[in-house]
Amino acid sequence: MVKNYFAFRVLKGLLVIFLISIVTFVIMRLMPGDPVYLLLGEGNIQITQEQIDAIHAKWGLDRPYHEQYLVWARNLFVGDFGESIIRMGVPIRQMIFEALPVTALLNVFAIAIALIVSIPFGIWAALKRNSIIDYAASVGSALGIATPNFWMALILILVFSVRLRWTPVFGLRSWQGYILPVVVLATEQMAVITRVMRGAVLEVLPQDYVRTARGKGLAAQRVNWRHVLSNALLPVITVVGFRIAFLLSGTIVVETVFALPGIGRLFTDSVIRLDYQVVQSLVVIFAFLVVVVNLLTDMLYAVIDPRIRIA
Amino acid sequence: MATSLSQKLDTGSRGGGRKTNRSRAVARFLDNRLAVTGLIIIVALVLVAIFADVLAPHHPNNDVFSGRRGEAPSIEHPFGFDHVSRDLLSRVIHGTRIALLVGITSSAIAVVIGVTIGAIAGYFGGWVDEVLSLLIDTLMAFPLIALLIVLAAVLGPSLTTTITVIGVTVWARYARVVRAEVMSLRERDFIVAARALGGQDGQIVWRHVIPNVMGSVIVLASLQIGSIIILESALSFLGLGVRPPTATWGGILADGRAFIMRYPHISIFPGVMIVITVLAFNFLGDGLRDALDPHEQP
Amino acid sequence: MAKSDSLLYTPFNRRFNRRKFLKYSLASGSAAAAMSMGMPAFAQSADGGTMVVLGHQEVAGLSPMDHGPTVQAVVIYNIMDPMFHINHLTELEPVLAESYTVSEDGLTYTFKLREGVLFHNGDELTAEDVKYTFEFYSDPSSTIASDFLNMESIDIIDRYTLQVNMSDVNAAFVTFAGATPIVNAAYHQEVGEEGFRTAPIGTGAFRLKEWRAAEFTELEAFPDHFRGAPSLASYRLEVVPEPSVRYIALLTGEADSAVWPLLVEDSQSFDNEPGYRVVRTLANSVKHILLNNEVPQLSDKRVRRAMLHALDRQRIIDDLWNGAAEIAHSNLTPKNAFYHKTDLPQYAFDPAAARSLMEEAGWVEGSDGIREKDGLKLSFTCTTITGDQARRPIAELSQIFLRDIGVDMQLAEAPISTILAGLRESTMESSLFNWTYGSTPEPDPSALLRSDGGNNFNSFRNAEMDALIDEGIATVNPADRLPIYHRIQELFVEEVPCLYLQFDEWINVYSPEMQGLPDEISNADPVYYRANEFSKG
Repeated sequence: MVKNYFAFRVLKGLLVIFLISIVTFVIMRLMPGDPVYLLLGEGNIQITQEQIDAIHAKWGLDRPYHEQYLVWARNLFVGDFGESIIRMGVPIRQMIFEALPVTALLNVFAIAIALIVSIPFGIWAALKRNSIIDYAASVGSALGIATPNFWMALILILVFSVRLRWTPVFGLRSWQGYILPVVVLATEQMAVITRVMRGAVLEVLPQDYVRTARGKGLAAQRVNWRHVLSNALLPVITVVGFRIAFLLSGTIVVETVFALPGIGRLFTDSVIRLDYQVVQSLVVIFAFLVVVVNLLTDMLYAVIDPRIRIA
Repeated sequence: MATSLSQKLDTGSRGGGRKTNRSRAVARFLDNRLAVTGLIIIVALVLVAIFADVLAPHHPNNDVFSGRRGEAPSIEHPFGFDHVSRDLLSRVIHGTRIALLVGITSSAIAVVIGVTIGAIAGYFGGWVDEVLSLLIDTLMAFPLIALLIVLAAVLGPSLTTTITVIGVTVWARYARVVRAEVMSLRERDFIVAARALGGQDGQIVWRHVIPNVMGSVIVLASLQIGSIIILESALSFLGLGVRPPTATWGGILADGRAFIMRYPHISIFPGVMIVITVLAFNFLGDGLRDALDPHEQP
Repeated sequence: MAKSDSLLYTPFNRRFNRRKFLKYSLASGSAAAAMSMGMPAFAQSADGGTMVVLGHQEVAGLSPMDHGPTVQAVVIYNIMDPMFHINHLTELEPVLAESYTVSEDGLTYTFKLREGVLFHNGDELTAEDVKYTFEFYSDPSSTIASDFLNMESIDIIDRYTLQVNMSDVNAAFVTFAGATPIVNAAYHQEVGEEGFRTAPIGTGAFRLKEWRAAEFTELEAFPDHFRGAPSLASYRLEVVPEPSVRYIALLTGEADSAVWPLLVEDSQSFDNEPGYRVVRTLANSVKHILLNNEVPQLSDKRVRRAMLHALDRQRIIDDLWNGAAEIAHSNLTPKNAFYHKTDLPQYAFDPAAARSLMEEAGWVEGSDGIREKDGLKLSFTCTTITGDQARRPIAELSQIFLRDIGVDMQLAEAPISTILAGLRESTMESSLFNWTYGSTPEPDPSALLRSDGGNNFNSFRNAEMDALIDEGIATVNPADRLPIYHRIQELFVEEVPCLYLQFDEWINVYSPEMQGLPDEISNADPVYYRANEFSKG
């Protein structure tokens, strides 16, 4: 039964990815403009229709839309993302492999730091409800959520790279280059996770089985850790899963400000320059990621809390 | 997580215990200092937005003080000048209007779509639910900012585009919450009773189901307005927001980005305004949740 | 053909300065890390060091086709050499060519190549490579095909001599086709254009070490370069989109120069930083507000003239460009000293004149202050490029000036590819652009002003202009061309196809460590093509 359920979920996930690939394809073609013009430049250059046609033909842009989609989808199915138009001839797979580690590394660090800081802090705030710590956690996490990450990034550059000169201003050639972007991303995660953790612990605390555990005379300390944590972690897992799935959205702005050659910048650059296949491939990859992470989250739920019934 | 308002519901949607519940909720809300602070700030911001024309000492776009580009704050110009030599205070004041307009209008659109679709999916279940859930899942799986970037580029950036695009993309979260609540409501006595009495589905949903989920929706909305304001700023920051020269916080910030070294005040003031506003909405949302959801009380 | 002596090897100051090294390595964690790896690397850098230049956008590719954008040119021209350069003094300088002759009728060019020039793979450069390069990149599917206008066939005379036969005269042939980076024919054939684009081989002083389009492109010295081994050990272009971050990197010593200008004020501030070299050149471009001449509101030249009168262009320069520009009065920049006409009629800032011109053209103010004619409002939309924070304020200020005479110019933003398509298809009303003539002093505006010009973004159609342009390109002798291009400028000023604003000053900054830069510079980009002459001290 469990197997059937997951098979159903996988099927549904595939359907979602298929829908997304179509929507993305259509939206990209709706965008006014033509990537060819960008290739040809804007200066004092003579351009003939013959030239435009030749370049269109080279990239298959002269074919009917449904054919373009089918060709792309078929290639995608065998793991071939096609070639970039703007970086003429560079395989998109290579572009993604170059950019992905940057984004992934940033997010792994950020989430790790956020978890290490937020889980204990969230629990502490919940246990000491309405204390100074609780208020600090509430205000701090609200502040973390309320601060636009691009603004925070700018301010951090101003302080740490310019005034104090502790960190390099751009690039990832040294580990110091990761500090500021990771801090910016981690702040956001920390804010969210602390909040969720606090809420989850509060929700679990008054529940019967915790009370029962207390009634049985277990030390308060052990009650908190064993019962509360295992139950309170569930929503945190959801949030972390959600964050991993939304790597792309979270890092677009940060990568732009810090000039990091990650997925987010590849995406915005490609949208603006109408590099159709790069955008389509990225969206599908990330939709895939969302579906997989959601599935994994559900499975993890089942593992951590066997009481959860799958229906 | 979407905790239903169980006690209230047990007495029926329009039962007698409602009034006392409400006054208890108001009392709880007023006890929460952060929430009240948030509310006061929001009221103040709304007033600033409404009376922007009166409050702003200069015209936000047309009053150009030649030769004072990037001048630092002074007594007469408390926020200083921007890179086109315009009074920054006036621009930030007018930016409040756009921020609230986008935040509230987009949320309203999202609420209407999200509640409708969520309620239909949850109430009818079956294949209707399957199809709508697929739609919700698809939208949730779409990288939101990516979708916004592409849509803004397709439609051409403008205030209407920004509001519409944000509205029609963020509703999925409402739909998900509402759907879950409605599913649990569906089997409640008063709904079953209404159905047994021969009520029309549409009427039941409208009269009995939707009023019961509005509590959660309001909480979610007050939290969402904050993130929408940030989203609008991010869009403007990436050059895909409201048309220039309209003053928006994100737009001013984006312009200030190039001058962060030389004229840091240009990006600091709108940034602070965004933080304060989003903070206020978050405090309000948290307060509302605590007030409407006695379950979490100690 | 002058200035070949500037190519001679000049001795550099190679004294190793420990304090500077410390400063540099502290400033940049990366350099410190690289240098502390081991002594051999250390010794090598002490001799040469790395020149780090900053670009604003990615290096999309390294093929000869990609040499248009500055950021790509400064890399490509260090890997590959062209036959000729327009150099830092805006003069034609032979690189791989030793000399050339052109027949009396202008239809036959004979090029003589340098002997003993080696490619990075050890092959010697021959006429075969040049022929292959010219033929391959003149194919219509090449994005630089227009550089080879009227080229018909190529004959190889001997190993180092080739003859190009033209179907018609093209006075700009040596300047444009000559600037094409020469590829190694055998290698290019083997790997194909796609392969070459990512792993080019040329005759340049540096060879490609690593290319990461959006991050950096690193080159290393090619010791067998025909002008002698470069002093620098490596040359690296870093992609840094934020102008403020480029400024900081220059200030902290993390970079040696920015090939794409910073914010004007930031660039100018280096005048007060000891040791930095600030080079001011006149950009060979005209900044202007495009007007679609086919839109009924903008089709009357009196309306366009009136709008030009309404713009206080000096104030735009002073308020937004910190004075680092001069008002444009022609379509050719003064940098093009030979052809630029100085005594053209000028449109002074004069709102009264603007209003009376509008009245004369029949546009009268409506109740909302916007002029109208035959029920049509004098309103149009100027679409600037998304994220173009440097130029957009010009449109914002112009909007105010224009409203003052009853013209409603709305503003919008759109991605560059959308704007380019809209302009070429004549569906966009207006935008804010620079006309750039690149580094060349070639005055031909056929792409910009000819009725069928590929970049005739103003949709400007004028029979006299077309005839003049054709005559100019078919005339070889500069003295004979002069009156033609003077007339073109006169006609341009009469017609006002666009609202021409200003000729920008281009400010490039070099760090105190850079040595071997030319003393005199009038053309900014080609300075970077000479990295073989530079050293770090």
